[in-house]
Amino acid sequence: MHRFRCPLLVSSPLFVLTALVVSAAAAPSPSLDAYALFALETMHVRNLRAGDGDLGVNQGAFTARGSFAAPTAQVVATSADVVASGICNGIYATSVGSSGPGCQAAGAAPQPIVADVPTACGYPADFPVCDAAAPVVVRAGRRVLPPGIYGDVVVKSSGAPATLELTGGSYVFCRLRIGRHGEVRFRGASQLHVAGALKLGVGAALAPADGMAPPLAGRVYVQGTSVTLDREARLAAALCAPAAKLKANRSRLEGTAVAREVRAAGATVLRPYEEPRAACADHNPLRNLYFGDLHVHTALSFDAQAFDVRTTPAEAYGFARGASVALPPLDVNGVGTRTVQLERPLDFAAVTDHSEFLGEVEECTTPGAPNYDAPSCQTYRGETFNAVRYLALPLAALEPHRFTDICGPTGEECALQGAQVWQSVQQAADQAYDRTSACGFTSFVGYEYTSARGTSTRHRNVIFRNDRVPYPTTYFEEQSPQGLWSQLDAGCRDAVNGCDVLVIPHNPNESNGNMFALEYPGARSVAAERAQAATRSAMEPLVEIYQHKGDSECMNGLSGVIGASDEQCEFEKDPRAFQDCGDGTGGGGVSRFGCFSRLDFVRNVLLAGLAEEQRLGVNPYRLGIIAGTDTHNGTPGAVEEATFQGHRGTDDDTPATQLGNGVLTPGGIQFSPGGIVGVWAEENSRPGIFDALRRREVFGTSGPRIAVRFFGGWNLPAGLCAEPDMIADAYAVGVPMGSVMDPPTAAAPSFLIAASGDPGTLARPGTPLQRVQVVKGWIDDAGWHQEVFDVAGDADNGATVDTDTCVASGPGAADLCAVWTDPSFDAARRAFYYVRVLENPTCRWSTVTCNALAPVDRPPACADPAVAKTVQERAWSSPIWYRPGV
Amino acid sequence: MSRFLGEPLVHFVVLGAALFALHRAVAPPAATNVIVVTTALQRGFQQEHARRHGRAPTAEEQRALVDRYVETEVMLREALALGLDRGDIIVRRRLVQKMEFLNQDREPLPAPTDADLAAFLARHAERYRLAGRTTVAHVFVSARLHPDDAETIAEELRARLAAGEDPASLGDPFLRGREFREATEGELGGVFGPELARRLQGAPVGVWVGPYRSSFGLHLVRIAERSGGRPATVDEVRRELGRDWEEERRRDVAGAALRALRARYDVRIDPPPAQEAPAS
Repeated sequence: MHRFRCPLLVSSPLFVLTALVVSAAAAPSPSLDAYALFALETMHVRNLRAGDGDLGVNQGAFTARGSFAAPTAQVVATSADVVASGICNGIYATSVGSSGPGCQAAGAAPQPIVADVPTACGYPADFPVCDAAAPVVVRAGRRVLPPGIYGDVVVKSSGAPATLELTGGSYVFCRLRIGRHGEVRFRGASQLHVAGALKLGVGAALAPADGMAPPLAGRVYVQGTSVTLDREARLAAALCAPAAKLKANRSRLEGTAVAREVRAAGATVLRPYEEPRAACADHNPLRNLYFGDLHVHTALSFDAQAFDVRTTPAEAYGFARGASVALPPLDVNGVGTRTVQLERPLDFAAVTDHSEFLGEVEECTTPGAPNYDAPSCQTYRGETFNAVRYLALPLAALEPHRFTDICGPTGEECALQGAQVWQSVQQAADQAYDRTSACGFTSFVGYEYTSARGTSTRHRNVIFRNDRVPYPTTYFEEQSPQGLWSQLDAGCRDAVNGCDVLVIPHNPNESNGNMFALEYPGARSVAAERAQAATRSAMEPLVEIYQHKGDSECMNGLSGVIGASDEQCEFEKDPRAFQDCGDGTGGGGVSRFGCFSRLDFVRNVLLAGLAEEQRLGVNPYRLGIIAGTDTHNGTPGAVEEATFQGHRGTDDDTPATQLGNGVLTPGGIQFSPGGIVGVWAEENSRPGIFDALRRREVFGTSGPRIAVRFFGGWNLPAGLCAEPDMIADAYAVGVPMGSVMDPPTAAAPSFLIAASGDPGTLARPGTPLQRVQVVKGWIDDAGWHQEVFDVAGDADNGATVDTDTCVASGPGAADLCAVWTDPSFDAARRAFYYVRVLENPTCRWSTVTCNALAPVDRPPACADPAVAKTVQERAWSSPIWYRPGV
Repeated sequence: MSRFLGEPLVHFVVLGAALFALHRAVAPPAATNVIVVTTALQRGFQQEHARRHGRAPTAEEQRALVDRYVETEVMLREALALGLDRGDIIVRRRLVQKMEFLNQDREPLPAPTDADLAAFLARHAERYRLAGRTTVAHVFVSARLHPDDAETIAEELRARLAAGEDPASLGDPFLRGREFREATEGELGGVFGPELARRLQGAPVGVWVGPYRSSFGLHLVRIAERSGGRPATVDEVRRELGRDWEEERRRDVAGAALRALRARYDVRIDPPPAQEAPAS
């Protein structure tokens, strides 16, 4: 990474110079394509945020009031009047009424800018007529509409969400009204002609279907005189409405919009962006399975570095793709002495280093850096225990401060160093991404936001959709998840074209009830709480259920949940003494102390989501499920029990330290290799994988490459498991994992559950499956309920493993399939269902490691009866939710 | 006359006079106690402030930025005058580092031509070797659904496929799908298991063959296309080639520059010190 440091320093004046020359030479574009928002006559905006893409008025006035943040946009109009605090990339106008230093007059505008606007935006010379055509009304659920001529089209969303999907081609609607939270989605390139008014209600969307169509798949032509977007509405299309007044109130415009008159208040204007790459040779509409790891630390993380880990992000991506890395202990040249390599490469990975000390680590480990000799740096380079603890302390503080002796009084030095490190992180991801048609590997840019506020784990991984990424947010700037989300909105989703992001909480099992505490800070009304719940749901669609530091699915014995105890919850548990937080929260979890809360476990968090949805109308915890490693060795996907080499550098680089306690976290033998995430996506590309993550069509495994598909519907054929077109049929009549079910059309829902075991490698065959379970959660007046159903396979198949030799024996299934109907469904109650797939028992990593030691060398932990000798590896699907209509 | 013009002494005098004139014209005034904060510099402060804080500095902040610049400039010049930069290990390392980067950038690196890339590719063919890829469709007979008669069913399906029936509606459902395009042996191994993936590498192209066995059942397969592992062409790996070519060129340029610089020095290396016994 040092290689990237100084070229930047040396050449940065050059960049500035180039930028200046470019911006001075820029002139208003005569092409409509350059404009994000274009009015024929007038444009009046208040509190507008705009990414790149200009703002133009063909012949008329432009006015910006309130706040105006359009740093890369040119304003082009006959006359312009911009608030003094406004920011833009220059005003081109014949007359400039007022403006400020951040948005200054730069030249004249051509009159008009575009000679024939309707033709330039593709408006048909003969607008198709809609009269006498049948209306379309979608009240709830999903409806697919083929091309054709229709009357008034209304998508209502009363109670359950309603979606109208356009398959592609030419459509004519008399009018289009998308009610509150309704959606019209383009599955393919569509031309939509609306003869009358177009209206999007609160939270409504007119946009491409996630992962199925490019950003500008929809072209919308409006003959009417009114286009209205209400609060939180989203229009992602190319809009051509030359006769209309476009009113956008606190909504998002992601595309290009042309109208006669534009009035926007609190709107965000972004233009779509697609990262250049070749089309994938393998693109499967029924979706392929890809495995990856989204939780990976390298030498850039302050703790990994202190544990002598020297793996760079580039090497970590290389490891995921099949190359080897060298792990500590280091030799005299500082090179690792243990070599590890995956038997099977991964399909995708994200390096997620702790964002907090990117600059500090660089400063303290680069001889010659200005504050290399600062006392804090000397402590950091000293004994490992002190190093990690010393730097980690602010991460638990209520008012964290950076180390001024390393960073300077304003933190400037660390910000500078950090920015260069962040460049190298992006560069490593960029180079690892396979942009050829082979689509062999996908990398994501990411980081970990490391809040341990009050000594409870509130860590979250932040994963970006593409190469448009802002500088990481750290615990030093934002001490709450709400703060993190608003930074990501301000710096990414609302500010940069094409920037999108997922925030993934992990280790709620160490959060003492804090990770998913039911808090709505600052909200004084139900409406304010609802808005916060919606933000959480949009930013955090996933949770990491399992990793190196244990399982967060479920735990027996916690108060407030009704249902039989589930023996499969006794899996990779944090072994600290049991104490129930009750309805409160505690502290100490980051060091594995303190109480357990029911909200430390995903199953109960999903229940809390149902209860909140009942109260607010929005589910803040609609969480899909993934697993990861949390490796601090830069070894994504190193999850094999039989070859586990530790995950924390010198802290667990020998059998003795792996089986005993590490210097910081009491865990040792209780830790495990962690898991991976499986993703059902059309193709292995950034948009393919990211969109699958966002729609939650993903699952976690405790390591093995188990495949699981899960669909829910009302009329699934009982014989689906034997249908040649099982998957296509399931998509046609049901919804996949991660979705909300369509409204009921039968007495009870049924589910297709299909799983296949890990086929293994030549050296190490996969383990057969034992059984498949459905976990149901629901709420009623009595409280929160859970129930576990065995739906396929056999819990008593007799398969065992000899814990002395680790040789397994007995029968199992290569694959399992069932169509299961909920026997106790109540259409009035909210519920969720997820699948758990269990393998036959195998030796836990600690058994393998203990067995490999001579009996006299085995630490006491090897004989600890509290440590399981065997493990039933597993997969957890994302849930399917049932939501009653109103 | 021409003889006079050929005299080295004349060259020396003329050139010397020219150089002197040039120096007079170009060199700054001798006074070093003038600090100029140019408009360009101030614009730089503004931009830096805007980049960090998301807004332009206020007039007061702008004054403070200028003030800070002046103060650091005063301190820097005084430090240089006192020679504080000499013998400072940090300054030394920083300067050396800057020199290294200067050496790397010494020659403007032209964009590589196709011939450059082709030559580079030829030298590193192994690094850019493309994995063999197979496009394969299969018709599956599930051992779970047909524990006793999977073979019989597979034979029957084989006959129907040979007779030209549409494979899309034949056989049992397979969780991972019916067709895999341009997949490596490793990727196919993840789907079918390693043994079957290996067998697919040797299966004939364009005909239905099998059944082959996996842990899940029997598979009738048809390889639509196979590309063996082979060296890449320039177009296939242009992006990677460009990046690696540039890295190598920069290394070469820097190495050459350092050698050239070193050649300008006479290096005297005194005898090494006698080995001292390490302190115990």
